[in-house]
Parts: sequence; structure tokens; C-alpha cells
Amino acid sequence: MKRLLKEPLLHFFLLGSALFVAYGLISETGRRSAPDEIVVTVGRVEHLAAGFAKTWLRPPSDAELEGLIDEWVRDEIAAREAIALGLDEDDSVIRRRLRQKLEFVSDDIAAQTEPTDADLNAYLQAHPEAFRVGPSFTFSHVYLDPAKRGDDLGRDTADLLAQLKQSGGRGDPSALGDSLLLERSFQSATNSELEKQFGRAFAAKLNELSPGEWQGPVESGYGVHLVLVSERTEPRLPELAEVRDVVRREWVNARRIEANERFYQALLERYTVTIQGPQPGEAKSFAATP
Amino acid sequence: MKTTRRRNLVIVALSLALGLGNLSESSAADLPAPNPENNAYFGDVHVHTGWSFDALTNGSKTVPMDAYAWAQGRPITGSGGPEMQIQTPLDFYMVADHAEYMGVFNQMTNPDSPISKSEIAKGVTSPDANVRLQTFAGILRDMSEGKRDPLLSDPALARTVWAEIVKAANANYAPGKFTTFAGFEWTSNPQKRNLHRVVVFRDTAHLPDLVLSALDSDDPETLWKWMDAQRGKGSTLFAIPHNGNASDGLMFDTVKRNGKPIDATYNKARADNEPLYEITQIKGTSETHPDLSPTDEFAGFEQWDYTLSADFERPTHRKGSFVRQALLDGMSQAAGGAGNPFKYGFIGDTDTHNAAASHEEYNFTGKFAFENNAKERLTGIHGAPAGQIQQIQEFSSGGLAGVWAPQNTREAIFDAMQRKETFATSGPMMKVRFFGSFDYGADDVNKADFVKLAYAKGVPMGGDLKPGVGKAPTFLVVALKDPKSGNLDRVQIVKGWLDAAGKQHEKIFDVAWSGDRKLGADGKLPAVGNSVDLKTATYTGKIGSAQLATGWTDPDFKPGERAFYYARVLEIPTPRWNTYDSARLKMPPLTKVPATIQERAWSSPIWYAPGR
Repeated sequence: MKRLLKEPLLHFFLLGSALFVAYGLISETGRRSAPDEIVVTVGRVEHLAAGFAKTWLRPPSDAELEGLIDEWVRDEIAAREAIALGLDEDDSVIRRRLRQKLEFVSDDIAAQTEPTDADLNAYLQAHPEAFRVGPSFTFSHVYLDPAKRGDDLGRDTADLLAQLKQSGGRGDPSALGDSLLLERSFQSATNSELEKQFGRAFAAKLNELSPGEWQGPVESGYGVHLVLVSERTEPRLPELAEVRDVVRREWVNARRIEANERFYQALLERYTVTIQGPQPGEAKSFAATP
Repeated sequence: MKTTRRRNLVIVALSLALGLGNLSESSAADLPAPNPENNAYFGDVHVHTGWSFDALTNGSKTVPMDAYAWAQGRPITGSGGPEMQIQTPLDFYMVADHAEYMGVFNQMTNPDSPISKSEIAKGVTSPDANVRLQTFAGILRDMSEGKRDPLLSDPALARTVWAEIVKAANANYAPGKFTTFAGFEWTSNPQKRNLHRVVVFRDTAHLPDLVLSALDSDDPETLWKWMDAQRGKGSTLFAIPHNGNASDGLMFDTVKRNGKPIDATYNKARADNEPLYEITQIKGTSETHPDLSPTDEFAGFEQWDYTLSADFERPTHRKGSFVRQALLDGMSQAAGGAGNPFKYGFIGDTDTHNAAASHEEYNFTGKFAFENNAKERLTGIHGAPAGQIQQIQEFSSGGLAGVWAPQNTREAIFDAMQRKETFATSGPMMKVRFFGSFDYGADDVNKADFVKLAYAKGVPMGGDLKPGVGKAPTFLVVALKDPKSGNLDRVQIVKGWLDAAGKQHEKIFDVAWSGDRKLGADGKLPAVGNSVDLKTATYTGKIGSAQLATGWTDPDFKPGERAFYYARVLEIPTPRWNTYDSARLKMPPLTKVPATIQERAWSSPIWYAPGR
């Protein structure tokens, strides 16, 4: 993998391809011999056939190839006529598309060599909030349905809590309380998982409970629960080895954004941008600042 | 095993050469054991980013990496508006940008563009990416014409948007925690009638180099042929149609695009390629319409009653546009011996065009980037036509796909979708279990091991009832509210059937509800009430239930009649997105769209056909 990434020929192809596209963008008309002549070159025909083969996983028949060529000629004539009429100008679809394509090109050129573990470790340490895991909770709960218990909810909760405490962790709590389409116990559930399964208030409250004994009532989006937290894992910053793929993904993405911003600034330097308005006659002008 | 691995290696190498790279492989160590009784996972497989042309031109600055970051809970760019962040992260997500523009880089293979090797060689050689980009920027306009490089016309070197989308999906796949898929949207709109399909691939080791564009053909039969060709090369994939409501009768038409009636070949191809239908999303819900279901008091939900034309045209054909009618028409096809083309399970999605799914009603950020500004989505961009403002106000917050799968992996979630063990919600993470069998007791639902028992003696949502003799089928249904949304009002079972003469019927049964309401003389359940305070956009938990469960036996069952059954679960009324917005902005509530909404879930149907 690494060898491939370092392969100069691959770089050459990628860069070349990118430049190729860029060139196409800026010299759209340069390759044509005459405005009213269309030459469908051998290369073009091969290209159309290759595109078809990639889509349909077989080469086109003669009739299909003829159709592709006809369609290409039609596109070409329409494109030339539309451009001659100026239909490509001030079209936000076309402008945004061109900008996007240029950004794809610069993405290609920005493509990084593989980061080292040292690069990634530095990134991990610099962005701990993005990679921190936990806390997580392993717990059992017993649910009481307020709709079912009505006015007895408070008393029932207290009774049940006393009963659970007395059993001292022995006995099967799954026979107690009211039914709910949720697991009776959770392994290493994160805050996000708790919020999703029980709602925000429950997750917040669980963070305050000390492990080892039945406690409650803890309110959820469903009603009230009695909870036994058996294990709580404190939040920690994982070792690089545990999260290498994710750190690499974020590192690459950050480098890409950074490189593209510099690319834009380099282009901007070559322009003088004058913004007229908002008041007529009050034009201000500035040189690009990198 | 060995051969597979070797093939994977080759694919990795090839992928790298194509710029696909970083295929993240499932690591068995991280994976919680599969749950044989299945877990509910929530996600969205219909997400657009700035890489879709219509998202881009509407201002989205997002890319697929942003979409996946958002679904996992990280804040992302608001493209000019406030940053967007989900409140409850999702379990799975798929960027499905429009295929029509995925081949962006076909100039790369343009054999006629002249370019010189030496230009490249002298231009950009530094190992430092920043230096490369500076150099590139410097020579952009100074490049001169040279001779063409035959190597560059090799299509294998074309870098496509598709390849980048796959790369983003792979980089964010964390088996057991967060699943991503490679996919795209095939966007067919004959005469502005919506025939769109989202295509989902089961894995990224067997993917085509290019995907099919609707510019080549707007006929779904062409898409299915293309899908079959991919299967021939090892891909596993299905297509999910959506927005029949905007198809003006074309989505479930019983006439093909070529004008001929649908037949056994068409029906089989459709059923083989399309296990699921996206019943709800931002552009409306296509379960049914009041014109088709006059006795359904909850029809007419979030209809978004438009075609895709730019002048706010209303559709005129109801039949062919809604999935409940299609389920009936599908059974009629089957009864006629041609097979059932419309045997659809259900999911919901959003179809966001700004990377963030927006299904959280209280956290709505709009379909397009410009709607990520509460005032503009409420009252429209200054100068926008009234019809467009109204269309945007009528946009739903979008739905979610609920999937019952043993674990959170590509394989498990895809396979659950393939067997239709899915449900749709209009946004909240409600959970719905739905099983059918001739062998259940109505009380089975109250047993502690009911799920185990339900699987052992019957079939889950999406299945076919196994034959029974001399009795009526019983359905077990349990619905649990989303702890961050409203309580539940009721559970209904929607039944559709063909009588002995082949005539189509539908009937809705209220089977479980909150409080001590009694069915009226007309068989209707009184409304649950409405606790929403429009000024503050709040509601209480004093009405409705956290959970509803029951066993229900069909009182009208006739063994000779084909039927389908699905569960529909309704929440109590809660504020619609516009009410949250107007409360936050202290603006008067909108008058042309509802202020409150009864969010809901739909299980996939269970079908019954008489034994031969």
C-alpha cells in the first residue's frame, strides 16, 4: 500500500490527469480546427466505447456505438451553439460546477503522502476533544410506567427500591417493574447511547450515580427507573493504535482543507479585486492578502 | 477463503490506483455479538451533499465527509447559516448524490486534449503538497499546447466523483458503531414526474467503476437491467424508489414507460430489484391520499402535493402515486398470475440536499442550504414567488429508516433491508415490532420472552404468513416512543385485501391506544387531544403512552382472500418545525401549513396468500 502511494508513476498519472482537466477547463476551444467542423477522432470513439463498457460491462454493439457517436455530435453542436450565444455566461450552475471541478483538481494535487505515526499522534494530542471516549456505563434498570401506576407511582417506586436493595444484587430483577421494549441491562453504554435509548435527563442523572447499589427514581422519556450501575468507565483519550484510522481520516481531511485554502490564496494574489458599492461612487479596492 | 483474500488485495491495490483507497475492513474484535432477536437501528440512505448539482446551486458547501461527520454527531458547516449538529447520532447513513454528475472527470479521458508530459514534469514535482499547489496555481494559465499523452486517455485512470464518494463511505465505516454504504440516486423525471430511485450496494469490494445516469434512459427497466449486469460482476445491490406523490400516477403505474401494460417479466424485475419503498421524506409522504382512502381519518399527512415542475403544478392522478394503493394493485397482479411487482417494505429517509438529514423536528435545518436560516425557510427568500415559499413551508422535516438487524454492519443492515424487516418513521426514533402468525395467542405479546416466541412461531414485518388451517391470523405489535419526542396516541393495523371477485378493499383497525378512551358507535377512537402551546412550542406528557402493545386477531379474515397488513403508530400532536421556528423567532405562526404534527411510524407489511 505504502509502496503504491510512493510510486512516482502513480503521482505522475494523478498530477497529469489533474493538469489535463485543468487544461481542458481553460482552453476549451483551442483544440478545434474550425468552428463549423466536427471531427470525431478515433480516440473519441474509443473513449465513448470505453465509457459504455464501464457502465454495461460489455462493449457496445455497432448500433449502440453509432447511437453514442450521434449523441456526442448532438451534444457538441448544442454546446458550441449555446456558447456562441453566450448561454454559458452568468449561469450559476455552470460557474459553481467549474469551481467545484477546479477544487477537485487541487484536491488531487494536494493529495498527501502517508502521515507517520508521529504526525498522527501530534494530531491526536492537539485535538483530544474529537477523539476522547466515554464515560460508559454497565447497568441494569427496572421501569415503572406512570400511566399504569397512576397515583401509586411514588409509593410503588419506594417499595420496589427497598426490595431491590434488600436482595443485595441477588435475585432476578427482570421479573420486576413494568414491561418496556428495551433491554433490561446495558453493557458499556456511552452517553450518546443513553440519550438515544432513554432521553437526555436520564443520561445526565446516570452520570451522577455512584456504582454498586440500586438507586432511583431516575426519570427518562418513558417514566421512572430504578438503576444499578455495576461499572462506570471514566472518559479517556485512546492510544493512537485504537483509533488510527479515524485520526488518519481527520488528519488527511484537515491537510486537504488547509492546502486548498493556500491554493486559493495563491490564485487570489494574482488578481486585483475591486468591489463597487454599496453606495455608488464609493468603490473600494484592495490587493489580495494571503 | 484464501482466494477471496487475494482478490481483496488486488482490489485494494486497484482501488488505490484509482484513488479509492482506505478500504476499512470490519475488525471482529470491536464488534458486539449479533443479537438473534435483532436491534433497532436508525438511519438515512438518501442524503445529498454539495456534490449534487442541485444542492450545489442552492448553496450547499458540504461534501460527503461532512455528511458522515454530521450523522455521527459532529458539527458541520452551515454553508452560510448556523453550524449544523444532530442531537441524537444515527446508526447508519448513505450519501446518495445524483448519478447524473458523478462522471465529472471525463475530460481526464478526453483523448483530444493536448497536454505535454514535460509540462507536468517541470511543473509540479515537490514532495510538499503546499508547494505543489503553489506551483500549480502559478502555471495554471501559462500552460502551452503540447502533444497528447496516450497514457492519459486510459479510462482506468479517470478519477470520478463516484470514486470519491466511495472513499468517504469507507473512511467513515466503523462496524458495530456506524455503518455507511456506497450508493447513488438515479434521477429519472419524465415530464417532471418523479421516478427517482436510490441505489444501495451491500459492500464496496464489488463496485462498478461508473454508475448509471438517468440521462442515458429514464426507464426503470433500463436501471434494473444495469443492476443485473452489476450482479453478474459480483455486486449485491437494490434500488429504493421514492416520492410517488410527486409522480402524478407514474410511480406505481400498471403501464410501462413504453406504453404497454406491465407483465410477468416487468413484475419480476421490479420485485427482484426493489424490496423497499421510501414512504416518507422531506418532499412528502406517499402512504395514501384522502381521495384514495376516504375512510382513513389520518390520510392526508404531510402530502407535499406537487410534481417536480418549476411552476408549482399539482398532480392530478392519485392512483399510481401512493404505496397503499400499489400494495393492492400488486396483489391484483399476483391474483392475475403475473406476480406481484409492488411487494414493498417501508423505510423513511430525508432526501436532504445539505448533508444534514434534518429529521429532528425540533432541530430542522431545511432541505436546501438556503433554508438553513429559520427566517428564510419560514417566510421565504425576499422576492421568491409565493408558490415557492408555500412549497418550502410544506416540506416535511423528513423521515428515518428503522431496521431490525442483529448488529450494526453493512451486511446485517443491508440484509435486513433486503428481507424488509424495516419500518419507516416521520422523523422520531420510535421502535415498532410487528409479527404475524396463525399460531400466536393474543396474550403472547405480554410474555417476558415475547420476541423470541414471536420469531419462533411466526414471521416479522416484511414476511409472508405461513399457511394456517381453519383460523384467523394473529398479529403482535409493540410500539415504544422516542424518549425525545411525544408520547404515543394509538397503534392501528391497516389491512388491504381482494375479495372473491377480485375487488380491492382497505380497512383500518385501531388496536391499541393510550388512556381509557372507548371506541365510538362509528367504530372510531376519539382523538387523543392536543397539549401543544404554540407560543412556546412545547407539549406535555400528560396525554399518550410511552409504550403500546397488543395482540390482534383479524375479525374479518377469509382464508381464500389475499391480504396485507401493516402497523401504523401515531404520536400525540407535537409542534411542527415551523412552530418551533416561529416560537424561537417570536414570529406569528404560519397559517397555510399545520402548526402541529402527529408523527408516526409504519411497519413493513406482512402478506397473506391462500395456499395452492
